[in-house]
Amino acid sequence: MTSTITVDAQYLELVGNGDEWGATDLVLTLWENGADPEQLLLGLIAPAQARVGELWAANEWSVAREHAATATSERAIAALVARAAPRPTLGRITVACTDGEWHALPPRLVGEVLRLRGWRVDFLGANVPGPHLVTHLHQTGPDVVALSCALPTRLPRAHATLTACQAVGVPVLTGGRGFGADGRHARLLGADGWAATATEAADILDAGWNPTPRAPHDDLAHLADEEYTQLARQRHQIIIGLLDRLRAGYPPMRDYDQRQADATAEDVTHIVDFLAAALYVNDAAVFTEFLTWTAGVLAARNVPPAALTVCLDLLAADLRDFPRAGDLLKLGLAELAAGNPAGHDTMRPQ
Amino acid sequence: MIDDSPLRIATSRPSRTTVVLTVSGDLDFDTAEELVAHASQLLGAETGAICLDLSELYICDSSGLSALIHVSQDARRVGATFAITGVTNQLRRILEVTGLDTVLGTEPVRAPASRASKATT
Amino acid sequence: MTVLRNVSTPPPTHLLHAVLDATAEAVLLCDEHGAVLLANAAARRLLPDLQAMNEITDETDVFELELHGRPLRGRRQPVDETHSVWTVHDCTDEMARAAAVAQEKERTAFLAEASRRLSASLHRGRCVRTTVELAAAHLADAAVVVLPPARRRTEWVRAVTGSRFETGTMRERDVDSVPGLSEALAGFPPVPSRWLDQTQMPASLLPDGFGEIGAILVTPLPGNGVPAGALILARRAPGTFSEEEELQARIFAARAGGAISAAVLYQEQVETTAILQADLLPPELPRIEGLELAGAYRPAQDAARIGGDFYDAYPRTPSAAPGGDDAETMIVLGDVVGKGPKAAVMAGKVRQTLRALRLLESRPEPLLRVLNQALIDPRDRSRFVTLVLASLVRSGDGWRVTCATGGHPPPLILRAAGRVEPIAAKGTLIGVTGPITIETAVVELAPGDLLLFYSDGLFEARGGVGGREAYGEDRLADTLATCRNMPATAVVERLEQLVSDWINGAGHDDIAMLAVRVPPRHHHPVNLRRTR
Repeated sequence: MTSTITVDAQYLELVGNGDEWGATDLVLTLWENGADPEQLLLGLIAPAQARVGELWAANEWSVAREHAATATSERAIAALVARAAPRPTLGRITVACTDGEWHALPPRLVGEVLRLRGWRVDFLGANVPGPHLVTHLHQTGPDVVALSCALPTRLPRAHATLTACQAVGVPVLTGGRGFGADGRHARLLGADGWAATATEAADILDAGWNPTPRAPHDDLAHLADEEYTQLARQRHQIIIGLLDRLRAGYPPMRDYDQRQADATAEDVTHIVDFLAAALYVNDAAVFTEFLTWTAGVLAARNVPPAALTVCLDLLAADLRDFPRAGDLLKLGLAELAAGNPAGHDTMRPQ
Repeated sequence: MIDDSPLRIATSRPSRTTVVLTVSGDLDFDTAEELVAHASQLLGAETGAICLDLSELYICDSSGLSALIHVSQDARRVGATFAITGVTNQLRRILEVTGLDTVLGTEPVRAPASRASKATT
Repeated sequence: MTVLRNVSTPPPTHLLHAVLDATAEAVLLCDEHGAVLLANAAARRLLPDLQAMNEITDETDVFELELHGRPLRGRRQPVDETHSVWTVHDCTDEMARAAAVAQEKERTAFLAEASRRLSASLHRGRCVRTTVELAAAHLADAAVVVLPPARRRTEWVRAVTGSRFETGTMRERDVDSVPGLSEALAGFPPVPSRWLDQTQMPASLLPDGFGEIGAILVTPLPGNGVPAGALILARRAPGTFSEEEELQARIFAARAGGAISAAVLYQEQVETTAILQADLLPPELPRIEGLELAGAYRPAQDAARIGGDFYDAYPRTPSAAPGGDDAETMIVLGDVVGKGPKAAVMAGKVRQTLRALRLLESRPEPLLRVLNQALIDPRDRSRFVTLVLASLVRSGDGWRVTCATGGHPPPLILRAAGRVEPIAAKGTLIGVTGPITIETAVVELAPGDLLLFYSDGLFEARGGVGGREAYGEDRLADTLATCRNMPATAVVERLEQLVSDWINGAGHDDIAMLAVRVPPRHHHPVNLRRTR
């Protein structure tokens, strides 16, 4: 058998080529030779996928290649778990991504680890609308919902989903980096629990997790200033205004083709959405970490960070009457000026 | 009158037997029924022609197309001719893809006819 | 009221004593050392040992204490330099009333909490579980819900205070052995606890080591005409159930029964709906040798999973008649006008009709014409369907695709090299008019090429910067071009994601996509150089 280092590199190579057959074959061979299936999921496939994300962020891999790699890993995971999982003897668990959330692989791994440990798992996949999830809960009556949120911009929708699950009496175990590296947003939004890793989530559930049912926690005191509400409501107008003024202040933008224009609109949208998310959970780090990360991604693509600074300045002028948002923008500008290198534990807007 | 429907329909009668409906806004799943109901009210034995001016139509989805077919068939039932005018490029593309341009028999009626009918108002 | 005529003349002493004795409060006159000089009848009754007053009242003006099982509250008021009067109140009745009020409050709070939690879920299992958990936390040391027998077995769900809930089954004769259980399951009124012989309770119904049972209470869970089950409450010896507690248990059981039976009704409807809509859901795509297939479906109505868009894939099927032609591999994707179940039913009809027709006719164009004739409803010609039909046959190391559309946007080809090409097929929508025109297109797919079928919900999705802009065919083609080299599943997922981000949570029409890809030629083992 080849050494571990070679196996890791080999697996990354295979998924990078979108070679489903090769990747599946490698994983199954390791399993047949006695490797622990949970270890294969979390020690081989998950790190490889984390590396795929890094390679994309560093502009070494195209988005197409990244998607192909993920699809390939999904096939390998399915093949492994189909063979290695026992008949379920434990309770039933629903695993889902928040509405608008597309990072399905981490929660999928949680689901598969639970399956390997004998739970009956319904994996609803990416982008699960709240009403769909609640209908599923009424119909299947699971013991627990495991809810994943990778991006803080989805937290308001995650919050709505969370309270909807609790309102039908099902406790929610949360995970994913959107809830904060230490799960602080999960606590703020009233989740019944939070797990940092797939193993931790599985261990919590294996220990017979049965939290006291809590009434949904849907009032956040800091939202009383309505800054979040106003920003969310005027999102479209703010973004359109921002793009107009960017065009006025930066002539080359007028010659952008549709793809470039869409990309700029997307960047501006992300800035506004992360600002809104930071207001929602009242946490400046949500905004500043995003900016630092974006500056890093732009640098990897040789885009000067000035574009980002200009955008924040314009936004600050727009949001003159929003003191909390104004403070966040000031902090963000200071962070960019300090030129903090990327490397925060943060999220990618993809 | 305050009308909060995303669909607006204005009626004019350039002649005693001709009805022109100017349809603007969104003709979709939520509003298609309004057009059908409105048109069927106007169609009577004395109607010789009904014409839909669609130049200010913003959205037309499959339910909207269904409403156009519905009105054309109601017109045929009372023996009136049916025509649409002011077809935007976007709508023309939809009518071509669905083959409705031939089904509705709208091809001969082009912008000049539209202007003519408006001129008589 | 009698008027005091002469206040300067005090009434005789024996009358003053009578007045004092008539008051319900204890009254004591003490000297400066605390010695009792005078005590009324109530004082002699409440404080038989008058000398003890000295200890109680030393250095204080008020006291609260329990004496001979009575809660007493006393207060000193000075009368002159050396004397003071103690009045002592017996609080027994007040305390009992306060306790009763507190208990009543607690019961109301419990029932409110119970109602909230019981009404939360429409799932029977969860309602039953909530019932036993609430009962074990508030009403007894153990609670068991026994469900009505089904298929000669009876399920039970149990919770014991402080531990996890458990489930199990019991046989018919065990049901009869539990005192009062078969009556409760048959819907007879509950028997008071004191008439039930707890020693008859089968040991299997409570966990090992539960301890000696002091009392049991068996209550029906009233349901929709027939009971939704029975609730057994057990207390360890020497516990019993008071009348109030029995009443409370009955009120709780009524609420739990209501919640469980509502859930049962809902489940029955869900099961019926599931059976009825099974054929209306997007199908699991078959494995077709030499093709990758991936579909995605997002109905307009989020809670429902069905809508007017549909797709299907039929693998090559050998001819049913000897010497006849085989039915070729066929792909269909279409869109019925409208949304929701009404549209889904018609979409189901179209799929079923095609499934049968394709066994007789593999060429898309004649197939569309027959389908058109079959779907025309002379009473309502405004209900229509648009669809694309493609038949696929092996051609060298790729596939030849014959494609016809009935008023539907034709599929897009993403070539292995990254170029996006539309297919020049054209045709009239289906179900409206007898004479239809159809222009069929034939294209060749080489390894690495991908064919994307989609419904107009995809490019008509409204969103973007202003929230009103359509995603558009151009943007769709551009996005597809960025999907070069991706497996079919990844292409579909990426398009779904980008369109969903475009819409950003706003409403949309049904969206369906189906990608068909000829797998590229792979070389094994992998050349490490190629990945840079």
